[in-house]
Amino acid sequence: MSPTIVRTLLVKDLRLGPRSPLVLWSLILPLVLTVMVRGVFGSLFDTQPRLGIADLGSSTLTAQAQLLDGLDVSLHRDETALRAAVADNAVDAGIILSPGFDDAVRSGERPTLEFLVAGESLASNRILVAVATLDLVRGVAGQEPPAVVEVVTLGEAGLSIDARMVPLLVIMAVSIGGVMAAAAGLVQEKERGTITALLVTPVSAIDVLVAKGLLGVILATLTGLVTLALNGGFGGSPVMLVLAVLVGALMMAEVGLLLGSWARNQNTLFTAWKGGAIFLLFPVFFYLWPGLPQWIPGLSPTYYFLQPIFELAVEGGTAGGVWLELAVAIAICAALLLPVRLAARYLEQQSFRAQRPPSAVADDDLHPTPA
Amino acid sequence: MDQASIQAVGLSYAYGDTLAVDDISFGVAAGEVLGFLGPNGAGKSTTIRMLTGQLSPHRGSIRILGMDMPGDRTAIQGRIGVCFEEKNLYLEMTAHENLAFFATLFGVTVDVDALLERVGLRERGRDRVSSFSKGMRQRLMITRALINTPDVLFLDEPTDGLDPVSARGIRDLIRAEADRGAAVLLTTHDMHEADELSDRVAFIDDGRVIALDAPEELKLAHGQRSMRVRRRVGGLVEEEVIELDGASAADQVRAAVAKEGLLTVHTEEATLEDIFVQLAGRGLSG
Amino acid sequence: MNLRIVGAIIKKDLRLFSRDLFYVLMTAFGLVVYVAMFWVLPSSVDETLRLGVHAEGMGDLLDLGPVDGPKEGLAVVAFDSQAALRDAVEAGTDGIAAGLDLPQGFIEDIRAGDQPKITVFLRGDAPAELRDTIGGFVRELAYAVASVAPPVDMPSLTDVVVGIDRAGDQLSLQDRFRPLFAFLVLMIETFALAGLIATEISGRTVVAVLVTPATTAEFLLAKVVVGTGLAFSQAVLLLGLIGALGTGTLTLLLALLLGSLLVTGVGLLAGSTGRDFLGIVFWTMLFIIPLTVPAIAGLFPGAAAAWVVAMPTYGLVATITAVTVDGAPFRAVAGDLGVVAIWCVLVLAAGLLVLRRKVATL
Repeated sequence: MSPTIVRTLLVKDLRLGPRSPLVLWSLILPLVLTVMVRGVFGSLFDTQPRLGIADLGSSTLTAQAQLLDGLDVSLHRDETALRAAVADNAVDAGIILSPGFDDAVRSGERPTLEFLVAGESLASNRILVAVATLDLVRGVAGQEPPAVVEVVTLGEAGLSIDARMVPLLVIMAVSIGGVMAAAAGLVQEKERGTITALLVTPVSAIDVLVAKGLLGVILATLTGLVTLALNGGFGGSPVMLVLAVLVGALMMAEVGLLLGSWARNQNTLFTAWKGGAIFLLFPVFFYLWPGLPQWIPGLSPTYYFLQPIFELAVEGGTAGGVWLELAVAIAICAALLLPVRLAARYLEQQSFRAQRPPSAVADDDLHPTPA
Repeated sequence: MDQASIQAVGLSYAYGDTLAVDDISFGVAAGEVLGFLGPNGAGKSTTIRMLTGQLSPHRGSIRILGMDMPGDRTAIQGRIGVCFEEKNLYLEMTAHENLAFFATLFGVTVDVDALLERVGLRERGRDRVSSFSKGMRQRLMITRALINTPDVLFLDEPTDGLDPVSARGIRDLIRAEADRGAAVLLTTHDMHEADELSDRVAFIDDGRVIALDAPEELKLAHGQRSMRVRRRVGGLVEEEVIELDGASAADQVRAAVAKEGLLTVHTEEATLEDIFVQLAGRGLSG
Repeated sequence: MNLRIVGAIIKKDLRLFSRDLFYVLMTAFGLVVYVAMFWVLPSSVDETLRLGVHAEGMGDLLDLGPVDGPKEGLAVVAFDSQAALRDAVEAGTDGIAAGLDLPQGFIEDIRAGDQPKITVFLRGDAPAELRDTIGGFVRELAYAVASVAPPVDMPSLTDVVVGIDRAGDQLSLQDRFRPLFAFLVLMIETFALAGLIATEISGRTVVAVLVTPATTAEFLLAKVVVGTGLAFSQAVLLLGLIGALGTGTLTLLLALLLGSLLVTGVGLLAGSTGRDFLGIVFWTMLFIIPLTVPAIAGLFPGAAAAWVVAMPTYGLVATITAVTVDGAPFRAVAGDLGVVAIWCVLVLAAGLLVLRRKVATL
């Protein structure tokens, strides 16, 4: 392998970068996904019970309800609007506060609380919303609770859905830049015949693979770090985090090199990715739904860089807590080096075989063509 | 020209600000082979694209077999055959399947095996085109152009990249089609091919036809004939070139042949490339 | 329009697809994976709030209940000791999210007005709504023990339900993923069609076809038929394998057909714009990601934002959900399908126009 040649090949690919849709895509994708997750899906990820209020009399209950963190309170201009929201399942429940509600409650008149429940609301949410509402009403009435409640929190606080989405965003960014840049770049060179043009110069197949791999690593690392920056930062161990992203980028690039060396055309490459990518990506589901068995993601190699990233960036972990997974990830990357080496040999054979006359018999062109 | 299978009058086409074809007029009769000779970028392929209905000329008119192009395009395309410069075959299909598909498009029933036999590909008919060599693909391209027994053939660089033996086979095939009565428009930058195959040759340069005539007439009109005489003189080989078009040519020839030590005598005539260079001021490969 | 020519092109395209054995195998494999994933997903929803209680001798206490709500909403698990209750809450045993430790003599103290202290154990990762409302829950319990009626006349929660009451019959993850899987299958075939078109353009085989009697319109129609046929057939197969075809089959088939036409339009657009594989991926993803939004939105409870409802694929997702979950008749989803149909026309027209122009410039 020649570092000079590798550098030349890499610089060529980087120069072509702005003209390549893949490079553009690798740079735009993290931004697009983050915007979608945070801004676009914000409301959809909010699984808190939703209370709609049609306050027709400026009740103090409304202001108190809006102070609650655990309820998503929305105000509606009138009963009709509120009923429509309940019917559409835009809220789990709704209350209609008629004019003079507060006075009626304080004076002991026991007015009827107009309470609506959305049919699709979870049973547990209905109870929680109802209880919260009653609690607020008793506050308006000035009733003194007959017992004092002390809440003791056990264990660590859970993570928001935004935080649990981070592994998904990171692996998408890293795999687009890592796998696809390396794989698609190789396949493209094969389809255009430029790979053969390279291999009949002092360039070796391993030079080509290393250059493509480096391109993938650079793109994947860049996009992975940008994604992390857009989704909450680098936690307390930025150096370790960068290392984890780098290891992930390397692993993805190696996978890309293997895929790209093997696939003879773009269709085959994409089909392989379509069918096989799930084995690399499935660990993200276990972050999104932590109730699922957590030993399963360990079956995928990507877990061993995703978990350190998750712990460092999202859970605020330290280097000491992730070294084992990271060591495994590095070992996987090292183990992939041999297949990549073999892939270089295969690539060479494949390219030169494409140049020789494909017929085992002497070339037809040397024989007279019948009239 | 009224009988012409191909009749082009005042054709022009521009790609943006670049005038690729500039006021070209010519005709090709049934059974005739017209060679379009010119360097790369001269306008040959653009002309063929207009004639085959891929492009609409910006100016001028085209009549193929008495029908207007592009007005009667579908009817015309049912009676022409086109062999493109690029090898646009379906690589994952066999040779047989490629031809059968195009036969269906033309609505003709053909003996595909017989067609493949004609170009020596019958035994490879069931193999995928992706396994074919360059020459085999080119032969298949030609065969595809003949699938509907066309009355007009457009051949864009038909022997490009072929070895001499295969190229000769293709030229024989083209000649046979012309003998059958097809009008053949052939583009090439191989002057030997144009010379050997064409009944008439059109030189095209910078989008314009700069000469159009039979090869022999072009040579007579623009070429210079010469004779090279070699003799051994005192252990060395001397060469004398005698221009045959001069008034004293006959005397010079007699004198040269009579001298002692005569080794060889070769006559030469201008090649089409020489004539092209003379007319265009540059070579065919420029 | 010469149907013989269209048929020949369709046959040729299908042959090209089938020649790539790997593509065929992996497509089948992908279908298997989606189906397997579907059947692994939970088929029911746990909408019960589980509370642990340590209240010696007060086992019937929570029968009083703070509100008259659906029986599915609350489950009480008794514990013999505070330590056991605490451990259960911390470990999340049996899904217990909170635990009430009622002191000895709790009832007597409340009735005597002594304001006893009730300890509530709460898991750290308990949802915010539970953190905010558990105190009120316990207070309501105390009010009930103290026989202090609420200052309002609170109706029974089962009497004020608007719309179909899904308590005990909520949309499971299987139900929510169904449209997403269907859409994923449709989306994948977009890439296949885009690749086919891009190959024909880059290999210039489309030019070879168009100098025969085949017209551009026939070429385009063949591509639409192939793209739609492949997407439709795979989507139908998927829905069949996940047991979605039963009630409202015709409506579902119509929805899938419209979805297939929609993604075919996207495939035409992407195939025209991409010069090579990378370009195809770029442009296809650019079009497809926004179209995926409604399908992903369906995974989470709650109404979709207005702009999501306006997306071309929203009607498709809504129809599949309505038909497969609620057995909605055609007339109930006709409006949604109508919107999808309009989008189909627009996207398909755009795709055909762009591809036609691309072919004309070759």
